[in-house]
Amino acid sequence: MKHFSLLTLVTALVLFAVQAATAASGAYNVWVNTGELLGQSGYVDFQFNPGNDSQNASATLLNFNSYGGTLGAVDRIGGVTGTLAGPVTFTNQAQVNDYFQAVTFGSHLSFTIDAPVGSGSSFGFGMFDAASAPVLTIDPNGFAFLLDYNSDNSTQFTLFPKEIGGSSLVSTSAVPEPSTFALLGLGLAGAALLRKKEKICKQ
Amino acid sequence: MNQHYRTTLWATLLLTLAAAATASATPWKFAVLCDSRASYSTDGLPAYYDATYGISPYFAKVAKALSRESGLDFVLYPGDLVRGKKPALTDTQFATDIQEWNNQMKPVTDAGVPVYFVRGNHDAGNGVGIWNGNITTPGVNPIIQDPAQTGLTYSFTHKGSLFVGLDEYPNGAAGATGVDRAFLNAQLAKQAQHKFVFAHQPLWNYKSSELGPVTLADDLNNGGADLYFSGHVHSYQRITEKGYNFQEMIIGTGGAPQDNPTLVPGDPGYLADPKLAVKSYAGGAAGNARFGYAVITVNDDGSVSSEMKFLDNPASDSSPVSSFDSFTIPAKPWKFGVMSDTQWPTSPDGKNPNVAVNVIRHLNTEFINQGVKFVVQVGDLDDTVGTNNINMDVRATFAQDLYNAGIGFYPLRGNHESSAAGAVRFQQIFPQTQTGVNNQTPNMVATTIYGTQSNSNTPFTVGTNFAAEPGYEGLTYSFDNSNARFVIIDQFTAPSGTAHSNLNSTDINWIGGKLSSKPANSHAFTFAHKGLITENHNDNLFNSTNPDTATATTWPLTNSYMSYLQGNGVRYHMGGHDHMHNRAVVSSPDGLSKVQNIIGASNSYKFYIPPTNAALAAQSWRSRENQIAQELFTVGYYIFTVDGPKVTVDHYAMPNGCNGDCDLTYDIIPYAGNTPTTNYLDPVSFTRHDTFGYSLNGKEVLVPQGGSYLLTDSTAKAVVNGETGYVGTTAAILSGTNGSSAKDYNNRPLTKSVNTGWSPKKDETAGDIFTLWGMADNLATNLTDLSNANNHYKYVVPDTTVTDTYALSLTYDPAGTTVGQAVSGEFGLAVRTDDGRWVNAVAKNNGGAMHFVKGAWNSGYALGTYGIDTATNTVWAVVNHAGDFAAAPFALTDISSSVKVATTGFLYSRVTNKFNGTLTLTNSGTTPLTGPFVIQFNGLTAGVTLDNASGLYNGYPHLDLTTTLDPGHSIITPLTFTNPAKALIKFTPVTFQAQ
Repeated sequence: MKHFSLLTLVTALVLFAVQAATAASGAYNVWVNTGELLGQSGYVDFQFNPGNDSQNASATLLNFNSYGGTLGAVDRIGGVTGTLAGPVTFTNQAQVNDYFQAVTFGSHLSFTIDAPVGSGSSFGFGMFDAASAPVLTIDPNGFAFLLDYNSDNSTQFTLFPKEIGGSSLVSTSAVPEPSTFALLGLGLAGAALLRKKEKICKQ
Repeated sequence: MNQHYRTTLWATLLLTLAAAATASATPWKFAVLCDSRASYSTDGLPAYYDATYGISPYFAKVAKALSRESGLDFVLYPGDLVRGKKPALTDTQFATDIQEWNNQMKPVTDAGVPVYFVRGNHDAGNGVGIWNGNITTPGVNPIIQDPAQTGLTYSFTHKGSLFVGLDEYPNGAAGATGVDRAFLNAQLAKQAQHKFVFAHQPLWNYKSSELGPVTLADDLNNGGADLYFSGHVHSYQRITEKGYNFQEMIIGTGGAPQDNPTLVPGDPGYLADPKLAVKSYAGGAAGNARFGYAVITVNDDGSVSSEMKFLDNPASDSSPVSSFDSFTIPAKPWKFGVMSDTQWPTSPDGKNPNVAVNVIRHLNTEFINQGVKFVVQVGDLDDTVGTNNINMDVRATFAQDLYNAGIGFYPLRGNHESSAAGAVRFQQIFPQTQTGVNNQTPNMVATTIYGTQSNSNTPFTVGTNFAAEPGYEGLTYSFDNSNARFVIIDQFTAPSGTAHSNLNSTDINWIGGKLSSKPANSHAFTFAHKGLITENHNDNLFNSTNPDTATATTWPLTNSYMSYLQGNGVRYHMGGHDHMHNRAVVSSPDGLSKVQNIIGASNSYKFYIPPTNAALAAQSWRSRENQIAQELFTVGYYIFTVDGPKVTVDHYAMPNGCNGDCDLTYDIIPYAGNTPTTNYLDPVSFTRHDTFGYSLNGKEVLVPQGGSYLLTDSTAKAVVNGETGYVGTTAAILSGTNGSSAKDYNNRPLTKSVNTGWSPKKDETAGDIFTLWGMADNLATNLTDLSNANNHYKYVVPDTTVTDTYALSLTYDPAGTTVGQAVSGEFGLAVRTDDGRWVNAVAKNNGGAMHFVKGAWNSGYALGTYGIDTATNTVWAVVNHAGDFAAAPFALTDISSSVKVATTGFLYSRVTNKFNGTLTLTNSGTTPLTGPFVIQFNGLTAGVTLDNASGLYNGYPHLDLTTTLDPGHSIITPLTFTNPAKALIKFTPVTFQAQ
C-alpha cells in the first residue's frame, strides 16, 4: 500500500506540472502526418512575423525531424538564421521572417517552435508541392498551421483541415516548463526509487 | 423749469443723442485685398519687377479700379505691401517704399476710404517703428491696441461688427512664428453681430506650406469668427476645413507675382485632402494673371455677402472689373427675451416693494446668460405707479442690469400703469421705446431705497426703424431687428389724457400698416398687455368686459386685427395679464384667421387660475380657442431664437414656492437665498418647460388627441420665398398618433401644434434640413386636488424632448453617401446635436433598440429601427423625439479610450502575395457599446493597402463593424494587406462609434 500511494502521488504531481506548463510556456511541439506525400518533392515554409503592436522577440525552431525525408535548398527572408535540421532562429523586426526549404517528404514532420508569449507576433507553417501549390490544407493562403502569440499573453492555434469536411493532419502540444521538468524529474526519480524499492523488496 | 419745458428739453437731447448713436439700417461694405509687392530681379518675372519701390506695376491699376468702387466704408489690407527686406533693404528705403505705396493708394484714400493694415512677411523685415511711422491707422472707429504689439495687432468695432487684425511676425523676418492668442481670444469673446479676422498667412492653402500659426483655426472657430482674410499666397482661394464654422478668403491678388494653383486630382495640394472643402479659387501665370479685390457687404438682415472682382485688363488704369465668385453667409441665429407682469404690493420682507425686484433681478441674470439682444416686458411693471411715479422709477432702475450687459429693454404698459400720468412717466423713463438708444435712464428717475444702480456701460442702440402711433409715442411703437419686426401695443389712456382702454380702428390700422410694410419674408411679432382671449380675466384687447360684448364693434375690430396678423405672417401674439403660462390657437370671429395667443407666466406675486368649469361653459368666446399648453403657479420667461426663417421659443419656469394659488406678499419663490421655505428646502433653478416654433417656409398642422401625425412637406415654399441653396428634399411622417391625454385646468384636451421648417443642405448632409416642432407632449399643470385652492399642484419638470413614436423619412442625394456607408448603416436619417454634429436619429430615442434595415420602411418596424431605401433614395427611422433632421453620414464619436484594438502577426502568403492577420476589438469599458464601429487605420505605412477596408475616412482606410459589444466582449475581423515592399505594417487605430 505504501509504494502504491507513493506512485499515485508522483503521477499526480507530474500531471499537475504539465497542465501548469501549458499556461505559461511559449513552446509547442508540432507533428504533421505527411504520409500522403511520402517520397514526393516539395517545400516547407516557416514564418514568424510581427503584428501592429508586437514586441521585439525571437522564435526558435528546433527538434526538426522529417522521418525519412530529405532536406534541400533553403531560401531565407528577413531575420532568419540557422539551417534545419538544426535550430533555426527567427527575429520579428522585419515584416517577413521566412524560412523556405525544399524537401522530399517522409512519413511525418515534427518540430518544436518556441517563442515568448505576449510578443504580438504569429508563427505560420505551410507545405507546398514541387509546383509551389499548397498541400494538405484548405487555407487559401497556403498555411497548414498558425500560432498567434497575442499581446495579451494568450495563444491561439489554427489547424487547417486537409480538405473541406476533413480533419487536420497537424497536431500540437505544449512543451512543459523547465520547472515542471524538475517536478517531472522528481516524479520519475520517485518512480525509479519505487522500482528500486520493488527490486530490493523482490530481491 | 416747468414740467413741459423739461420734457421738451429731454426730448431734444434724446433725439440728438439718438441721431449720433443710431446704427445704420442700410447695408454697408468694405473691401479686402493684399500682396502688392514686386518680384525680385532674380525671379525672372520682369512683368512684376520694380527696381525703385518694390511695388508691383499692377498694383496701381488695382488701386484705381478699387477707387471706382462706391460705398466702401474702409479697406482691409493683410500685408505684403512692398517687396521689403529681401535682400537687405535699409529702413530709409523701406519707409520710402511704404510712402510710395500710400501714394499709389491715394485714389482710394482721397475718396475718404481709409485702410486698415497688418504686416506681411515682406513688411516684417524692417523695424516696427518704421512700419508704425509710415502706416496710418484709421480713426474712424476707436482702436483697441494689443499692448504687447502696439500698432501691429489691434481690434475695432464698426457698425456692430468686430474686426481683429493680427501680426504674425513677433520675431520680424524670422517668419510667422505666432499671434497673440490671449488678445485674439479676448476680442473674440465680445458680443458682435459679425466677427472678421485678418492676418497675412493662410490657415488652409493649396500649398501645404506657407501656413500661419496652427492654433489660429481653432481659436477662430471657438470664438465664432465669420470670415478670415489672408494673403501671402498670390491667388484667390475660398476654403474651409470640415468641422469648422467659418471660411477663409485668401485675397493675395493685389499685383504680386501670381501663383497658379492647378488644383487637379493628383496635385499635391489640397484637393487631395478630404478634410478641406474648396469653395472657389483662381490664380494665373503671367499672361492670365488675376488681380482684384473682394467686396464684403453686411446686409441689414444680418447676412454677409461677398463678391470677388477681378480686373478685366490688369494693364489698364481704367480697367472694368468682373464678378468672379459670390456667396452669402446667412445671418446667425439671434435671441430676444420676453417677461411679463412684475407687480408686487406691500413687501413685508422688503424684497419687492411694489415692484417684483427680486424676480426681475433673477430674470435679468437669466436673460444675460441666454445671450439675448433685448427683452420685451408685456406690461404691469408695478402694482401702482406710486407717489410721484416712484414705483415706475423702481422698474426703470432695475433694467440697469440689462443695460450694463448691452441688452436692450422694450416694455409696454399694463392696466396697473394705465393713467395719463403713467403714460407720461413711461415715455420719460424708457426713452429707448422712441429712439432705440438704451441706457439713457434720465437722472429724474427717483432714487429708490435701492439707491442708484451702477452704470458700467455707455448708451447703445438696439433695433432700427423706430416708429410710433401718433399720440402714443413710445407707447405703441414698432421697430426692426435683423429679419423681424416688433409691434408693441398700448391700449390704455394716452399721455394727453384721451380716454383709451381698448384698441380702436385707428390703432388697428396703424398696427396693420406697420405689419404690411415689413420686408418680405421677415418675421413679425405683436405684444400687448392683454391677449386675443384671456384665461383668468374676460377682458381682452378689444373690450373691457369680454370678447363677445358689443359684438357689432368688437368682432369687426378683432377680425381686422387678426386678419392683419395672419395676412402678414404674425404667428404669435403675446401678452400677460393672466399670470399663467397659456398657449392657444385663437380663431377670429369670422373664422378666417387663426393666430397663436401666448399668455406669459407670472413674474409677480400673483398666480391666477382659469374660471370654473361652469363659468367657462357659459363663455361663448371659448369656442374660438383651441388650447395647446397651460401651466399654472410658476414663475417663468421666454427666449425667442430667430434663425433665418425659423423661430424657436423656449419657455423656462420654476415653482412659485407655494405650489398653488397663494398670492403671498412675502417672497417664497425658491431662489437661492429664499430657501429653505415650507415647501422647498433647497433652491430650484429655472428649467425648460415648453418648446415650440415655426418656420416661414413650413406648415402648421393641428393634431388633436388621437389624431394622426401623417404629413408630407417639401422645400417648395422656401424656394418661392426666395431662399437659395436647397436641393429639393421631401419629408414625410409615415406613422404616429397623438397619444397625449393632457388637459388644461378646465379639463379641455390639449391639441398639438405641429410645425415644420426647412434649411438648405450643408456640406455634411446629403439633403436639406427638416425641422419639426410641437411633437412633444403638451405642457399641462399637474393638478392633484381641484377642491383645494392652495397647494393642490405638484410641480414637475416636464420632459420637453420625448414625443410619441413616429416614423419619419427624408429623400437624399446619392452623391452624399457611399455604397459602403449605405449598406453598413453609417448613413441615414440623422438628427443634429447641440454641438452641431449629425448623429443617427434613433440614437437619441428614449428606449427602443437600434436596428438597421436595408430597404423600405414598413409599419411593423419598432422604435429604433432605421434604414435606407436605395431604390427610392430615402432614409427613414422610427423615433420618439423631434428637432433638426437630415439625411447624412452619421457623426463619428471617438471611443478609443473605451476599447482595445489588437492584431495578430501578419503572415505573408506565397499563394496570394498578401499579408493576412486578424484584428480584435474589445470593449474595455463598463457599459455596452453599440455599433456600427469604424476603426480608422491612422498613419498606415506608406505603400501598404488595407485590401478589405470599408472605405476612406479623413484620408485613412477604415474597417466598419456592425455589432454590439458588452463589457469585456470582443469581435474578431480579418485583415488583408497588399504590401509589395514587404515593409513593416504599422498604424495607429482610432475607433469611432457611428451614432
